[in-house]
Amino acid sequence: MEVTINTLSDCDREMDITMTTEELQPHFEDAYKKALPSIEIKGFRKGKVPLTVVKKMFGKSIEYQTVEDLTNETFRKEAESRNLNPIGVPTITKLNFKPGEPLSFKVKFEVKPEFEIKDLSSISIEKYIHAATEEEIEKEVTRLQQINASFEPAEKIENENFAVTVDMQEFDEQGNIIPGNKRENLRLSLMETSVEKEVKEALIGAGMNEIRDAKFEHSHGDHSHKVHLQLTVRGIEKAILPEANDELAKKVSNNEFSTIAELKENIKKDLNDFWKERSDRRFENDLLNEIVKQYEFAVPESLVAGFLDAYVDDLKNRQPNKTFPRGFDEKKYRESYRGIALWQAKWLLIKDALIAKEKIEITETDIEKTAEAEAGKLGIDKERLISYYKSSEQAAEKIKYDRLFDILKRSVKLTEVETADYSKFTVE
Amino acid sequence: MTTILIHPLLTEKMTELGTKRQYAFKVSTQTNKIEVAKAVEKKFNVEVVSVRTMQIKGKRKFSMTKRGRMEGKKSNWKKAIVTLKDGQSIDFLANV
Repeated sequence: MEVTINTLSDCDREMDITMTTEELQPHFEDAYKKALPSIEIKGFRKGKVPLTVVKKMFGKSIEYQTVEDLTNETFRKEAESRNLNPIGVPTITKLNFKPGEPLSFKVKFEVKPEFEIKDLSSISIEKYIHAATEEEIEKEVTRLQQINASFEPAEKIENENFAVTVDMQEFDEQGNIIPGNKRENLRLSLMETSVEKEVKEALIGAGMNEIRDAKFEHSHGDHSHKVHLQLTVRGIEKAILPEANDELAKKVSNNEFSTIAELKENIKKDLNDFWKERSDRRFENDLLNEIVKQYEFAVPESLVAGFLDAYVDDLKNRQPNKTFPRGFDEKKYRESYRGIALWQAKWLLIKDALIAKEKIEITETDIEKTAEAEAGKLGIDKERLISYYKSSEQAAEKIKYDRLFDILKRSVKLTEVETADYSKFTVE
Repeated sequence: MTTILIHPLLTEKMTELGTKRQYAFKVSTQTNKIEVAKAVEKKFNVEVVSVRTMQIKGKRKFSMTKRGRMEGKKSNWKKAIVTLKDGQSIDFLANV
């Protein structure tokens, strides 16, 4: 048997295999022996058909089937013996075989690209942090006051501390009424952030039965459109905010806190936890992005395709009846997510290489430590978590990743930057 | 003109006979041993030493239908076993 490996690109390889008729013959004989007991021909009992008859009648199909099995098996054995570690699905690009002649075939496959592990000490990353301010705490207290407000009838809307009942009619861009887009006796609390700013501005200053127009741009996901609403005031209620005192603290916390100071302290802690979580997530994202940027290598197409398949499956599973809506362009969807899939595939290869380099292995102690830390957070029994971590490959990968991330964090130059700019805490 | 040799009989028993240079055919019921021998010699380019023929009676067949038990019968047919000259053989599957 002759085997040649051709390098087509960084990740693409081609295995060229030729087998002589003498090498093929034992495989064919085995195949005939295996086929004999199941062959049924009229005039013969099952399994009693003479080999010569079987060869004459089914020889070609048995040999072609054997060749098909043989190509897969030979490729697998040869790849294994040469430590090629193919990824994705290998494809047979050329197959030449005729009964009585040698077999030759070519298999195209992908391998993980080889790359050197980079020194990360030159990477510097700013980690955005934020500590809750007095203003933010007061804003949260005000929000709690608004939630617990009582209402009394009023004649005029003076500020945002009002609830208004309106009849609402929508108009198109030409100023024509949109039939069906009318709602009556709709109660709006102007204290809520979900009410559009323009609606609040239009209503402030209005009295009973007054008509006000509000025009604004409304965004849905990736697009926006102009909205024109005509609001007729049908009812006005003034919000009477409860005082920010110990009474309020007890009420909103179900007696968990007895003083307003305790409540504010808890708000501060929650806000700090919130900012810390956002800060950590943004930092992780920035760090991984910087690491991925350091590496320039070709990513195997099969890996990228694997991620894209997973995105498509995930999207499909989230659809009603698990079917895409009519007109859904899967090709376009795949194209739009290709960049993300490419990044994910590249990071997967880098991560595996880094885990191998750092010789990160999971021990019983690692599992126990993680289970102990997570048990409290998740409210699940520690022993149950341990057995889950031991059985789940995904959980094991997560523990490995966490350990790697700790190492990576220490390898880069980290500067903490205090900021209240919320956009710095969002993940791209 | 009727077809003399209808088809060869390829069964376990007849395959066994092949080792004795004997081959079986379903032949026309109207034909005789001489015609069979000539037809085999012409078609397979061999020399026939002897021919044995036999009339096979068609099997009776029954089936149960809505109208009750239906009875039928398969056609009678004729089998011919030809013996070839020493050293000769026929490969029925040559053209498969």
